[in-house]
Amino acid sequence: MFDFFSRLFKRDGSSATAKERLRLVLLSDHLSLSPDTVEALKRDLIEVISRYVKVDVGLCDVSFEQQAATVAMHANIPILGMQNERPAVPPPVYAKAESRSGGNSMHTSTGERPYLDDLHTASASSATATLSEEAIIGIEEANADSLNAAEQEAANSKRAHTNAPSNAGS
Amino acid sequence: MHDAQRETQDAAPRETSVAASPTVPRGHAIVITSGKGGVGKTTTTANVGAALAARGAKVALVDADVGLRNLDIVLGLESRVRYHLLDVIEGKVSLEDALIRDKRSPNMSLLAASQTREKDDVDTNKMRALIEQLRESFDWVLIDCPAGIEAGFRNAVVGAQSAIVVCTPEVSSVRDADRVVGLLPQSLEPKLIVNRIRPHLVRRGKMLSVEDVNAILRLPLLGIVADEPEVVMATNRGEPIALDQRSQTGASYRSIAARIVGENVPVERPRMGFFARISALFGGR
Repeated sequence: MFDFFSRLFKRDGSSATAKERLRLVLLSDHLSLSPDTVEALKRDLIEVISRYVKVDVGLCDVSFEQQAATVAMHANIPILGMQNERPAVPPPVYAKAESRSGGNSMHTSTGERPYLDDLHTASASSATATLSEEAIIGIEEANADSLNAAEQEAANSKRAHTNAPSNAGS
Repeated sequence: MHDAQRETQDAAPRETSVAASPTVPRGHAIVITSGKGGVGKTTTTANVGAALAARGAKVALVDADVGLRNLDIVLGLESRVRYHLLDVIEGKVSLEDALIRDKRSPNMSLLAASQTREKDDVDTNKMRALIEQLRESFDWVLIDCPAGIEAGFRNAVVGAQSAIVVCTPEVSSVRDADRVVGLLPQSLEPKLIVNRIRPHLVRRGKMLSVEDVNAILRLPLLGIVADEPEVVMATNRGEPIALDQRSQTGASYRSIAARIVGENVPVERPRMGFFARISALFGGR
């Protein structure tokens, strides 16, 4: 009898589970389908990091793997030392990226962006202490509202399975 | 065909449809696809075809599922299959001889699939030419695509001008539909039919809704078809439910046909059927 009533009044059913599983599996599908995109991402990633530190390009490795609740990007980028000069290219405008993040933004696992000065002061010890640093960059779960926004955006753009990861989650 | 004949037969003017071209070929070929098997491609093909034919259009149904012939069964024409698709492609018989005229609607003909052959036996260029040839004598050519994304899929798609993607509210079906949409040429402008919706389960959060499905697929919605026992019963008899004027599911197929020919009919949401209402009253399935 209890079962009868609980089933009668329960509105939070398995469709939410289905939706979540579908979101994840498609994210994974789209990512795994585009080795070219992963390669381009790796190239850009190394280029950006190289503005700040010297990296061992030959040993860089970027991979995606499905975890319990997210798809995670693992970037293993061995650092050889600091760049002597400040980067010639100004860093991208973070404020702009921040304002439209929400959706499928990537950020480092600490949640903090390293400031250049911090890097410089801390460089001596960290560069010698660890030759290899592993950054785990999670593609964060999109909340419902921003997912819709991302969908709208994606709907307008040409549909392709070789989407950049920023599109793949929607 | 001739224009005079067309005007008498084509009850619904097609000026808004995509294929209203005065030159030969005049017809429009639509591939019905899904990726996953068992989601209702064949049932959809049979019923949309029957509904289009009931409007007076000339319709050819092509079973492209070579090796696994089924469309003849759903239409109740299995006893009349003499020749099949590969016989035509290989030039053994003429297209006219291989086409089976439907027993209920003389406007509709079926080109059956070969049961003893394999999908790889079909030459893609010849398949394209065959669909082209059908478009010369029919207003609508509906191609029932096999499951999968291999040779059979490519052959089914090659002659089409547009595509219908059939998807059920299940994770596996949506995933495969998503894959298929990525593989279809953009020019086919795929539209979505969400099949086997159970409204009472959706309402209780136990089934993905049409919106959930289309949040992923993002296709223009062509129609929603409920999961009703009457569809199974009609298929058992080999009679398209679309011809049953009292059936709600039949009405869904008829409104899909109306939208295909370009009528501005809103997509209606299936109501809960009688059995589903009783079932929901006692706690649902």
